[in-house]
Amino acid sequence: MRRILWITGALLVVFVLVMQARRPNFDLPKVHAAASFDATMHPSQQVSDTLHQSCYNCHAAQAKLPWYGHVWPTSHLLQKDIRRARARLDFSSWNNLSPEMARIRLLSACQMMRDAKMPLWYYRPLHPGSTPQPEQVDAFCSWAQSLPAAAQTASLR
Amino acid sequence: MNILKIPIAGPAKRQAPHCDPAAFRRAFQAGKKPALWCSCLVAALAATVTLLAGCQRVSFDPRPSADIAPESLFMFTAIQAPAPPTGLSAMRVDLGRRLFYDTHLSVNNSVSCDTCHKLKAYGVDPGESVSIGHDKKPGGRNSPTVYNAALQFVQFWDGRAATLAEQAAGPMMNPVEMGMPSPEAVVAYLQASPDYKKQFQQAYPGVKDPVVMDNVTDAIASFESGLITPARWDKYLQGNTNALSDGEKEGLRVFLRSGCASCHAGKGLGGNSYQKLGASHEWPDQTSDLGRMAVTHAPADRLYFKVPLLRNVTETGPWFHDGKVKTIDEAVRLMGRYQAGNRLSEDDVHSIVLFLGSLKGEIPQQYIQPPSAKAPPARMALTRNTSMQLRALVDLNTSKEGQ
Repeated sequence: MRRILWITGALLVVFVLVMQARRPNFDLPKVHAAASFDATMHPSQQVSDTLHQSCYNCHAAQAKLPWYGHVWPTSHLLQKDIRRARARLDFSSWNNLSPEMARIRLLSACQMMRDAKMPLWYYRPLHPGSTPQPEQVDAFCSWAQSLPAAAQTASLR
Repeated sequence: MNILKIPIAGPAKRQAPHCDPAAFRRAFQAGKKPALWCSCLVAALAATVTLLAGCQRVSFDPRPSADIAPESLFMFTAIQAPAPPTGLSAMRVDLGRRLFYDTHLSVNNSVSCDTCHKLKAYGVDPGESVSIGHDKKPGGRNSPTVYNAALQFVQFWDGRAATLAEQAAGPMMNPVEMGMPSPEAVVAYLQASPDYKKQFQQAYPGVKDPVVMDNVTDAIASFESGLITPARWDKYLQGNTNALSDGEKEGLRVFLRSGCASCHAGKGLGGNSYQKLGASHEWPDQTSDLGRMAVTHAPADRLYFKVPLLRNVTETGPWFHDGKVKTIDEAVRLMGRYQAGNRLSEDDVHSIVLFLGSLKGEIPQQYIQPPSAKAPPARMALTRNTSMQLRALVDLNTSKEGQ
């Protein structure tokens, strides 16, 4: 029995090593500061800090990948997560949004945080300190709700 | 459940000592290195997390909201039919309508705005993947609808025009579309028409020479601004929950759950952001059309396109920027896969399509009624870039002025 387990384990290790050849494509282009959320929306420092701390690892091209983020299968999962996350909300290319859509995305983010749906359940234990405190969420939501429906964001386009 | 108690393999009586947590603890306390146990534990944990994280099929939201109560749908805004224009606005709309239908704004008098944006067919060229220009050559992209275009934050698939007026000038000068050699040629044609001149003077009073290109595009934009089509969906947003059928309501739930509203939100359910084609999964065609990058030359804009409006979307096929998708079901399926990152079931696709049907508004038949045919000024068909012909046209107009 022990022998079978060792062989299985060894095969698994070899498989994982072979899979390392599959390099992930995180699609993280160089960020233009002028196109970013901070430069476009000018949030308060507290709001900016909250978003950087809780959201930017997946919802921006400035994702800070941990060492295991480059190791398969984690790399595969991270690639999938980051691409889908940036498809829904990307703080690094905020100039792709109209004022109307910018407000909608921020209000949606507020709701997700209020409902404790974001950050994701499996992200939190791996990133202690990423979960925003209730007062941080309140400050962010108040700011987002205060934006006029047709807020004039600096259009770079 | 204690995963250490999960039988791994082999007969139960041999398994017990290996899977006994107490034995595991004793081995640790004895300073032994239970490598096998550790490997099993780590592998089991990794597999569990991988499975749970990877199997989030529908969206990031682990508990997707199925709340479709109108008051919960803050990401959408109802629209209303615009009030009939009056005064100067009405004159500009009338002028814009006439220009919209005028084939003389094309180089060989064959194409008008309505050729590619048929107002009786929800503002598109039905059945054509890309529109056919003045010399029967195909254009580069599918003609987007002009209905509700005023709700968009920019115009064209790549957003190269900031306003409706800016957009209106584009096709006229496009060598493949209407092919006019220059704005001067357009103005020369209009100045040759006493009727047009009179209409411009009425619509833009107080100006010495109102027949200028800026006023041409402004008049067309004024007309297009009125092409708004409220639908049953708007009644639903305003609180009439009977405005949607049960099937459409279920479609709305699937639409929200699938993440479609991340991009298709707001007044137009789209038209208010750029998005990368293949945001979640790489789009199969990476080279035919670079999207917004062709405008900005920024690599970050590669394959970015303006998110199209979903209003009337069931009527505006074929779909996508290249018009290669022939059915709305396929369009929904592809968007689910490549944009939202979900493989939608056939039931889900069907439900979403049902919901999209509720976005179909009424064509404002009276507003789009073509103006009664008025004799256009005599004008030879131009050949693009033939300056001699253009000069001849200007001379012709000048001589008429003198008469």
